[in-house]
Amino acid sequence: MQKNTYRYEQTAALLLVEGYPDLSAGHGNEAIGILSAWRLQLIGTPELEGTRDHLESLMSAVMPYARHQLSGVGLRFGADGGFVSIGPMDSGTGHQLELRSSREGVEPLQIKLDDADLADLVRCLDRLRLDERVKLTWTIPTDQALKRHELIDRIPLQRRLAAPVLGGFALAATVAVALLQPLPPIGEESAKPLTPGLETAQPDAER
Amino acid sequence: MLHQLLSSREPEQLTQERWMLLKERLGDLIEERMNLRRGAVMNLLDHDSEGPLHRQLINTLALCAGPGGIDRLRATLLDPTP
Repeated sequence: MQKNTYRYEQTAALLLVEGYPDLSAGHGNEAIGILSAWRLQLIGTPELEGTRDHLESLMSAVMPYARHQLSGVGLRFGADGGFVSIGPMDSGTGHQLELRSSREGVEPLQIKLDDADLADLVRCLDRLRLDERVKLTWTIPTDQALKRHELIDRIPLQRRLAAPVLGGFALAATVAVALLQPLPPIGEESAKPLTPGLETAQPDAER
Repeated sequence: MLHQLLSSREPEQLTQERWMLLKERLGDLIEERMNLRRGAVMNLLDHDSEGPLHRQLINTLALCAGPGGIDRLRATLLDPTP
């Protein structure tokens, strides 16, 4: 069976995938239906490799993270027990990619990526998942518009609270002014005739 | 060019010069093609180079490049206004 190797190269990232066509599924000789190995080289980091599960985990974390970065939302992606997670750096700019080995006793590898590295990694993964020669199905979420509650975090707290606080102050000021206004005395108001020329009606017996 | 602007491994001075070039070119394009009497357009011209706005523009371009970028950009444009 012919072994196929495809490479997806960007300035700071190089992704190599190796595999075989799945002849039982009717794949051609140039297709990859069974992934045997993959390697990822990012500039300034050790070479990464693993199984298909690792690659799928990498995609499942990086692609939604890039989608959220576009909307200005810096959330961490990747399950706690999963192989890969990615999130914004705790201090400063950049992104922190954390890779956890499936072997016992191996410490997680943490890789710092800048915006250029992340964009190159995303492009490599895009090219792989959209390559028609690679007949693998990836379980990654489709790109969709974010919900309103997901976007609310990108607005600073001061801006979010400014309108309600100002509204509250305006309401309180209006109530205070209304309370300070003297009310007309009720007794004097009722004793006055409504109009100067109008007299009160007299009972018929007094006429 | 996008990679060079965003990369932290490039020399600092060279990166600053690239951002200045970008700001000048972008400013020229805006002055040529947009209505300068509008406040939003003037606001675009007033931003510093390598400031948040320019960086966001370049970062968006970098993440929207490539075969799957158009889907990400389309989804981003459909985001609700918070």
